[in-house]
Amino acid sequence: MTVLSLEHVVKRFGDFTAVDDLGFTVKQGEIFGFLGGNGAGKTTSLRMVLDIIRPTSGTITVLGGAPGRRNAASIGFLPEERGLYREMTAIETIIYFGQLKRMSQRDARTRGLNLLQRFELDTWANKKVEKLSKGMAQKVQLAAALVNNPRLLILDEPFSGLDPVNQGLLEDVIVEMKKGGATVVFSTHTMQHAERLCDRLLMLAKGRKVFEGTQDEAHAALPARLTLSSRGDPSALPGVAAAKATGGEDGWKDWEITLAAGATAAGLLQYCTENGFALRRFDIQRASLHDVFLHHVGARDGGKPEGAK
Amino acid sequence: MSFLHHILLVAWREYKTTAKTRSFILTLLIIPLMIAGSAALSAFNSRPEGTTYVLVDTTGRYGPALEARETLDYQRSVMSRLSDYAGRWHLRTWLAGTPLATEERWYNDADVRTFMQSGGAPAVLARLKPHLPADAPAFDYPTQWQFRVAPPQGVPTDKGPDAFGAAIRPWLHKDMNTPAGPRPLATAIYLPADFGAADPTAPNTTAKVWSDGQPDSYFLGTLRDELTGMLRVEALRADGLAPAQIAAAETLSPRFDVAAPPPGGGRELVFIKSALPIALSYLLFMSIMTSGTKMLMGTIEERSNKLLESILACIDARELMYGKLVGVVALGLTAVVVWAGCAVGAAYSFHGELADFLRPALSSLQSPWAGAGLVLYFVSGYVMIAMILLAVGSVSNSIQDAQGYLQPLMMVLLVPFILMISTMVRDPHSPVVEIMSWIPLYTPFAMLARLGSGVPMWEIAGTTAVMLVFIVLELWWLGRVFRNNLLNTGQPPKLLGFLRRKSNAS
Repeated sequence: MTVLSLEHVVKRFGDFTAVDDLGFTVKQGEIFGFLGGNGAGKTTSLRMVLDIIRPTSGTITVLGGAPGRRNAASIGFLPEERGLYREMTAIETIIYFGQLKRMSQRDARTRGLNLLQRFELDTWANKKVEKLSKGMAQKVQLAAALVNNPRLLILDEPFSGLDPVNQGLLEDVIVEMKKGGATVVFSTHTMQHAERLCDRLLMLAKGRKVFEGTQDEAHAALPARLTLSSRGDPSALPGVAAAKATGGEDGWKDWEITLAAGATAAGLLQYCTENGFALRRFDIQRASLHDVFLHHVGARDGGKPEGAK
Repeated sequence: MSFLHHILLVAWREYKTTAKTRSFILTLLIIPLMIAGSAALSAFNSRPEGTTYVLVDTTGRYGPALEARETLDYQRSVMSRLSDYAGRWHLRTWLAGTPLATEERWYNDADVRTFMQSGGAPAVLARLKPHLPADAPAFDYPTQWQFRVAPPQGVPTDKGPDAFGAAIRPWLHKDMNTPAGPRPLATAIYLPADFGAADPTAPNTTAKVWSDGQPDSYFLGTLRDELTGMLRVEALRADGLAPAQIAAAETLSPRFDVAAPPPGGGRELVFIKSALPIALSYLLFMSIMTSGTKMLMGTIEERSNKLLESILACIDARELMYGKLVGVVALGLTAVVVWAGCAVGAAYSFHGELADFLRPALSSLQSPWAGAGLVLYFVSGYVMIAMILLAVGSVSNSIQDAQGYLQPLMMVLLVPFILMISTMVRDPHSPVVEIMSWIPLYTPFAMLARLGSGVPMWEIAGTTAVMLVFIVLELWWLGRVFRNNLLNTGQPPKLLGFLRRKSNAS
């Protein structure tokens, strides 16, 4: 079942096109990553999904209907830039957001207290937000996003600004939500989180989609890197387009192999073993998400993801 | 349904968080506290009124007459106040046959003497007592301004004016005992033995007066008139005029009938009737500025700490806007209810004159139309200005940023308001006030202030219609500004941008 779909969505601010002909679908129970550098159009796209801003053209379907506040009861949202009412207590804040999402005060309080307990903040429930540390306030805001037990959880750069402990907590929450049947869409430019969490992902560059698919499809989009150690020169082997020596010792040489079009690493290994071509090491390395991102986005965007070397 | 639910949720949050703040509570309390404080201060500072004087009459002829004059004047003021007192409780008929029964009357010396001979105020009050309502306050005697006291011990009265003067001077301004309690000695008068002698070259013919500061001109004037009258009588007698003719000349005095509206009537009534609406108009302005500024700062907080995106994911920008407006109107009404409650409480605590003042003031609002108009103008005024403040909040990133808009805005609101109120006090039907009634932004203030002095129905209907159209347009404009600017996705509206440029230029 499709929870979220965008078709040919365009958003312009004056002369600037923030999102250009964007289309994708997210199915129920998926964790969907929204990857892009700064200014790629991630936040604008998510705001359109939430009906905070309207697209210039195109169609958006959320939970089977047009975007709108009637979906609020089924959606949880954590914005990129966080803030809370400083003079309200932690539990008052969560109840307020619960009520805005059509919950009763009692249900919002019960669920809010459970979440605060889950986040080890139950003793801070009645403290004003201004008394909380930044990390605590971030957990309160996450609780406010989760209070309605949403069917669709939208997180905009959820890991930015979190310490490693809270990053781990958030990853756990995302996995728990998926196990509970919820769909999670999150934007990030940190590849490690996407790599660990996403079932499918989409890469954006300058407002345009440059990739959509599963992690395997993403990895397959770039050829695997093959290295081997042999006594002989592998250049003439079938399926090898080029071989570059990178070092070696005791009569063995290390080679970095570029396969010919249509050739596979498995085929090359089979040929070597059947024909007595001596090998001491045969190593296939899939392209990392980071490499894929740089391949797709770096060239268009000029921007680099977090952790880029 | 959820639209209204969201509005009320936002309004309640705005109301609750602001109403709990120290600054709002302080603002609520500051006006009653200031009134109570000034009342307490004046009570603390107030001394019993009236002063004393010492009169040394070595001739033995003038002292008793001067004292009698003081008594007559004081009793005249008692009569005047007694007549008002009887009039206030509609009891003049019970004083038939006395000068007090007539409302418009100047009492001459003969009237006063008759009054005193027939028992004075106690006798009149005894006649009124059976007919007075149970809650009528006791009669309040007028202040007696002058008390004659005997010269202090050790002050010589028989060694000439210089010795008396030297001895009395240190006593001036010191408290002397009187039947009403201690009062300061303000004046000392010495009439020498030859005072009033026909021969101006004779020694000791001049009265001498010592004062503790600026002499009381009324007291000295009375003294001089009285002494002059007595000297003239003596001169006429010396010229051989018959005693009967002298007596007739002495009692000759003009009769006055003073026509004035009863207390609380005439010009006073117009002022009193306008006082409450003008005060309400002022309260409206004060409370808008108090709670509207709070709302403005709240909106800036939501923008600056990026709260809005979370809220707008749950509710529509219009719901947020209406909720804030409802919240701020509720805050303002709270302030007005508290202030009005304090005023009514004070009115009941001070039963007499304040209640007399409030009765006609409230009477201007007794008709259902005036009452409905009052509420309509109050809420409309609030909403119109709150919307502008909300628009400023939605385009400002910081308090400093908002200041750029607020300074010119305050000028636009405050200057005409002050002009209108000052004109209104002088002339409720001034063209300035009537023109301002038709400018929507000032309609509530002008009409609130005019309600007491009578406004034609067509004018109420016309100005209200114009104002309501303006409010609808303003709501539409604010809705656009709010939605376009809350998340910094648009430019500030042209009108506000213009205001800020003007402010920066000035």
